[in-house]
Order: sequence, then C-alpha cells, then structure tokens
Amino acid sequence: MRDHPDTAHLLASARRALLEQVVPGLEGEAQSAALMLARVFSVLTARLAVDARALTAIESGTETEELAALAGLLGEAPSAARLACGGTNTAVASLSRQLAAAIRRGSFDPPGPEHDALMRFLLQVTRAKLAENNPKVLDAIDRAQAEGG
Amino acid sequence: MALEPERARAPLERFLAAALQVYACRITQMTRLAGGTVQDNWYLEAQAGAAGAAPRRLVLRTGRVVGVNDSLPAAHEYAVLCAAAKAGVRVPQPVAVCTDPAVIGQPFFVMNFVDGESRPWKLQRIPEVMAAGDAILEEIGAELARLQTITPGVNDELGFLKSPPRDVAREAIADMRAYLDRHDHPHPTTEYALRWLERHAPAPGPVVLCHGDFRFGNVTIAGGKLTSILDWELTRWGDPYESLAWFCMRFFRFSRPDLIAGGLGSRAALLRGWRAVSGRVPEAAAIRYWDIMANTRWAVISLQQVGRQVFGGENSLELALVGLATGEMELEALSLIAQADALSGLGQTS
Repeated sequence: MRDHPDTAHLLASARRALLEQVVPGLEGEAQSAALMLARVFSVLTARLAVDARALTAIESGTETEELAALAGLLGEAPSAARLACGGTNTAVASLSRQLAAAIRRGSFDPPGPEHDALMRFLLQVTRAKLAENNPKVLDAIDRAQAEGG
Repeated sequence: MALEPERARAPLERFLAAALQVYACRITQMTRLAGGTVQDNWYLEAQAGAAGAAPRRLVLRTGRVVGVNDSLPAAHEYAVLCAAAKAGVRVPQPVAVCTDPAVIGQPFFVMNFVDGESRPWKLQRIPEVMAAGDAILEEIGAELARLQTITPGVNDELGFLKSPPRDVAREAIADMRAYLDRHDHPHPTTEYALRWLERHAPAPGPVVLCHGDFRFGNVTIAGGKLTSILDWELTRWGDPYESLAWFCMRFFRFSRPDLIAGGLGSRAALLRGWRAVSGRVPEAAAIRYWDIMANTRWAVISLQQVGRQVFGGENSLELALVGLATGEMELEALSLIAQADALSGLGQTS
C-alpha cells in the first residue's frame, strides 16, 4: 500500500505550484506552454477519478456503467460481452464499434424508443468526456441552457 | 522545419530586391509573429531601393510543419490570395512567391503587413472592438459574399484545388466516415451526427470558393474595423453556407459563447452583410444544417490533429490538447440536432 501523498494530491500540488510560482514569472510562448501543462494536470486528475471508479466496479465484479449501457442498447448481456472479449475495456471498445456501425446503417433512426435511448446514452458519454477534458465548457453550456430556459 | 532568420537573411534580401525590382534590399527587422500551428509567419521591415525611402512592412509566410492534410503549399496559397484580392476581398496585398526551397530552406511567400489584431482573446478585451461587433460582422459577411463570387471554372489559376464536389454535403460525410474507419477508436456520437446529416442532406446547390477556416482569429481588426482576412492555406470548393456556419461555431466564440457570431456579435449582423452583397436571402433550414455539419467536421478534424501528434510523430502539446475539445463539438452537434428535430416535429404537427 502506498503512503501519502496519493496521486491526486501530488497532481493537485504540482498544478498549484505551476500556476502560482512558475506561470507569473514567464512570458509569451513559455507562459502558454506552462498554462497547457496546468491544463494537463487537471485532465489527469479528472481521468484518475473516473478510472478509480471503474476499477472499483471491476474489482467488485459489477459492470461499469458504460459497458452496461452499451450492452443494453445492443441487446446483449454485459457479463457475456465482457467474458467474450476477455475484459471490460476491450468489451467497451468492441460494443462501441458495433454501436457506431449500427448507427451508420440506420438501425437507430427515429422515431422510436431505440433512438431515444441512444440519444440519452450519447449525451451521457459525451458529457462524461467533456467533464474529464474540459469541465469549464460543460459548466458554461449548462449555465447557458439554464438561463435560456 | 523552422526558419533560421540569420541564415535566411542574405538570400532573402537578394530575393526581395528582385521581387520588388529594386537595386538592393536590406532587412532591418525580422520577428516571428505569434500564432499558427501549421504555418509560420515572420514580420519583416525592409529598406528597399533608395536609402531615404520609407521601409516596406512585409509578412513572410512559410510552412511550420510538413505533411498536414489538405493544407495548400505556399505557391497555391499565394495563388488563392491573389484570386481573393482580385475579387475585391480585403486581404493582405500579395507581393511575391518563392517556390525554390534553396532560398530560405523551404518555399514561402511575401505579402504586405496589415495593421490590426487577430488574436480573439485580445480583441475580446478591447471595448472599442466589442462595441463595434455587429458593424465588423457586417463587413465580414460582405467580404465572404465577395469571396463567393469566385466559382469553379471562372478562375483557371485555381486548377490545383481538389476538383469541386458535385454534392458538397454527401461528399463531406463520405470523407469523414472514411477517416473514422481508419481511426483506431469508434466514435458513436460523431457517427450519429453523420447519420443525421446524411438523412437531412440538402439537394446539391451552387459551389463557391470556401476559405476553409473562416472564423474569428483569422481576421484582423484595427480601429474597430475589419482590415483583412488571413490564413488561406485550407481553401477549397464548398457550399456558400459552410463559412457562415463555421464563423458561428461555439468553439470559435472563445470567452464570449453568448455572442453567436465569433464571440463578437449577432449572427443577424453577419447575415445582413452577406445578403447586402450576395443578394441572397439566408435560409434558416440551411443555416441549421450547416451548423451541425460545421461542428461535426471540426470534431473529426480535431481527431485528425491528435492523430498527427499521436501517430504522426509531431510532438506538440498544443496538438494533443486539440483532442480534448472533440467532446465540445460533439455535445454541441447533439444539442443542435435535438433543436432541429424539435423544430421539424413542430412543423409536422402544425
């Protein structure tokens, strides 16, 4: 078992030091690069939290939310897909590929409950992607929607 | 391949003297300009001819990286710039092109320097610019309409461009699907947007010259007025609505997502300027369609940019971070599709 600080804490400290002690002393391209590094630390922190949740699910023998949702859309049993693919990550990749092909073929065209379920899934995974990669933009989109009614 | 100013100076002075038809030319200043992940721009001041003459203020433009998809080589971008200038579009006046890589190490072209700021985050902090936002957008819309007077067949000198698509929308969809098929990750959300675009594709319309990256950031503004449209390396044939939509994409509104046209002002202003010159009444359904196309296309381009970094050996953090934006365009496309579907649903029941 690792001692403190844990990975998230290390990343957060590194980011703070970068923003508070390094960035103010830099100019131009060097400052832009340092700000990009700070952004990378935020993304890593968010991805770490997501991966930790997935790991907990896998260790406790339950399917990750993404695998369960994908299998549901394609009418497959999630545990069977995981076993057939030899793991959760490969099963998610394989089912995503199948889903993409089915969308292209028109199998999920509206109207119908399949389309509505697909739309809910796509919104969820796309929002999750943005929550990891650019939470500020996600907040801004949600705020704009709340204000616009 | 970055330009090495000290090594380039003397051969560049000889080239400029010949191009400007003067006996001698001395470069008194050479500074790299900020921006540009694909191209490198250098500001030059040159004493051309008589010693007492005012220095020429020029910009040298050359490739920063090699092998970018769909990016025009210097000589072709220069030809496009000349064609745009001839059509009356506000662009930096083209000066000379050099296709001989021996002169400075790679092909390049030279144009007149244009006063003005192009960086969005700077412009959005200038009260004079923001107060004049709609007026500037009318100018931008008008320039776009002027550019669109260039159509296939009119300019033989643009024969190097990929031949004009018969059906802009369907060919774009096919190209994007072909790219996704080569990608190692599946993208169900982008596939969904492409399927929607396929189901709603308009009948093929007129094809016009399309800047390819017509957005805030590629225009210069000075004194609250548009001074030029820059960066023509992605020019291609396309649909007239493509650039109107591209300019309004959420991603390119920077710190002002509430201002639909480039984070600068209203779409109505952009369309007013476009209509005044083109005489065309903008169609709402076409605008909705090309808005979704723009976001989908930019989502796929962002995947390609990361591909350059991950598989293409271009070790740039900037390129890697472009990939973090894919979700933003995908979410925007989903939201625009939901709005368009809601509208057409209302249309059917009323």
